[in-house]
Amino acid sequence: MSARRSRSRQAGAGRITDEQIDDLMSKLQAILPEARLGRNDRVSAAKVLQEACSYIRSLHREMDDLSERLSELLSTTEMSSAQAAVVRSLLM
Amino acid sequence: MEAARSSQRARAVIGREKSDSLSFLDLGILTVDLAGFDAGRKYCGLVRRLSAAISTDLEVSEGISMAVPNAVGESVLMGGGERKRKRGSEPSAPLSKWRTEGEQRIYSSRLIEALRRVCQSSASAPSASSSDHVRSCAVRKAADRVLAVSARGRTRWSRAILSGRTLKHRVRPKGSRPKPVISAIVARAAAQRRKTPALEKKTRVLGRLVPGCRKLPLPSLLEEASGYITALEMQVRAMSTIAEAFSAAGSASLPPIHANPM
Repeated sequence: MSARRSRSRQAGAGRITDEQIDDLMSKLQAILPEARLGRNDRVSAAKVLQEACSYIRSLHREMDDLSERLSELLSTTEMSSAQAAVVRSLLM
Repeated sequence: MEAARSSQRARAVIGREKSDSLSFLDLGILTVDLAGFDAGRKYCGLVRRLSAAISTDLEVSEGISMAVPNAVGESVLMGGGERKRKRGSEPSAPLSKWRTEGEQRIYSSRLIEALRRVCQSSASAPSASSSDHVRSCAVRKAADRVLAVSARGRTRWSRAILSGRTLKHRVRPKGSRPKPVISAIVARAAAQRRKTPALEKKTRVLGRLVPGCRKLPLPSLLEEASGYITALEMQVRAMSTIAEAFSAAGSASLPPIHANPM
């Protein structure tokens, strides 16, 4: 479908610079929770990638658990009053 | 009747917009017609926003028009269209927006709408979809779709979700195999050699985890992964907040509505 789309295909500079990759790596490392990596510079690219993968997997697992919990709650709770309560609490 | 009228009005609006996007918008509008919009006014607003989106980025509108026939996308897009889109101000802080409370609140309200639909649809077809697993899958899919729409189609993973992504529910229990950690120096040398096989493999794994990014080169993949992770974090925060609020509301049978400290 949109396979031919090139978002940032460098037309001028044909190669992707290592600095660019390093920059993105450190950005990704900053996003990962600190407990996994520590914020020092000595973390390797492979570790960043690995931690990113395991973090995404754990987030997916959490999402599945939450979806199960929410679906159970949906079935048992009376929707109108609960929804009003939720929306109100959200808006405050 | 009213759908035809609103569709005509919408086409009049399109006529004033870019002509090369006409067929594209038509598809979106036809699907919207079938989905049964009843407010022609909102309808024209959607068209205006779609064409505004087209003038900036084609894929944005592609993602949106695919989301439109979706029951979730219906109210979501209307809600999303209400906010003024400032062009050019987004790339400045694309990741930190997921951390703002406002974004989470918007996501939560959209998600509640979507959950209401899931609730209604499962109530109307009790025999078919009464199993818990089916419903929780529906909840998960709705949450992902709402998240993808919140990204406004600017990221690849959101577009992949909206266009009906590949099945994600098979999480192979690989576990974390202990791999030798390459030291920083070696890693730097490896990066200069354009990726060792170990990095290649991890890159591929990451590409499989982020929707729609299987064949992406490393820099784009890293960008997409950063955005995806922060969005997922927000999704988890919002859903747990909603679950807490629901269970609190459910346990108190007749809640006098107070501000729940969260």
